[in-house]
Amino acid sequence: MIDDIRDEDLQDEELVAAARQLGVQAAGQLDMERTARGVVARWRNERRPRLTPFWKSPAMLRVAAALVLLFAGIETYEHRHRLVQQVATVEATDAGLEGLSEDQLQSILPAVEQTPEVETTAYDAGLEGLTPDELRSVLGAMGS
Amino acid sequence: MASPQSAAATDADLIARWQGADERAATELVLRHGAPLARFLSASGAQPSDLDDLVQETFLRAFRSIAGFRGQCQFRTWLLTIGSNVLKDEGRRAGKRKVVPLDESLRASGGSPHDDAVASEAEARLTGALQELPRLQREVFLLRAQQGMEYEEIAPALGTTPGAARVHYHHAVKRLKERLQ
Repeated sequence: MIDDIRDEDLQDEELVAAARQLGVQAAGQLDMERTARGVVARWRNERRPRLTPFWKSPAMLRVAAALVLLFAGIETYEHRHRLVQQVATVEATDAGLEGLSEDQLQSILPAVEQTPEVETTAYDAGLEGLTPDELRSVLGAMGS
Repeated sequence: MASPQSAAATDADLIARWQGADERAATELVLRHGAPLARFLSASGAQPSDLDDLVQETFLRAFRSIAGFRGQCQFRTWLLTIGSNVLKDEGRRAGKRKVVPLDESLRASGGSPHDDAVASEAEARLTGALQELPRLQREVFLLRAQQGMEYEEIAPALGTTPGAARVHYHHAVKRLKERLQ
């Protein structure tokens, strides 16, 4: 079918002549020197590296991210360390009384009476404010 | 403006020099192919007021993808198909196909007012009829009738065969004749 089609059958000379004139006038109004300068200028502009502020450069952003992670890590470590210390203090304080028998507690009472202000902060907050009489009543309760 | 040396250079030479960042080669390519490209775009429906920008955009798009040009067809054929894509994208962006209105084409060009008006009207009718063709038929017709290219040159640029390009051309001529009678 394709081979059956012949250009000479079309008698398209007039059409081709008209097509050759299409756009001649519009194209003739363009200043190609100016168009070429425009193309080169736009190309240069496309290729020019974009200026980025120093503090927005990828290297600086990486450094900033690393510092944030470092400080966060230090703060987390210190917070955990403080918690562990507090727990250890409480456990040590608790162990000082919980491990004692009633007789042993009775034996340390005179010492507590004689030195009421010695290292009260190191002991359980539930006992440090008690008077000797109150401690006796606590011991009585523990013994019963 | 073009130096005798650059006038003798082939498109392939200029492309190679352009790839080596020689801006004079780019200028030479625009001077060499800009006017045929503008005629092709105008016949494809570009408004005269948009023509300069469309020509520039076509060259820029070609330069961006020039590494992909393997010499499968002439540089000009490749450029014109890029121009067709640029025009299509611009038309899509504008939301409608741009067709040269009759009154805009009726401009004095140095001949008698009557002759100019008749010629411009004929041109406007043909341009209008071209817009009604399927894109492939329009491109084949313009590349052959307006730019004087052979089917063997047109086919690879449009991703078709010379035989199919010939069929598209014949359909285009038939439809245009019907439309213009």
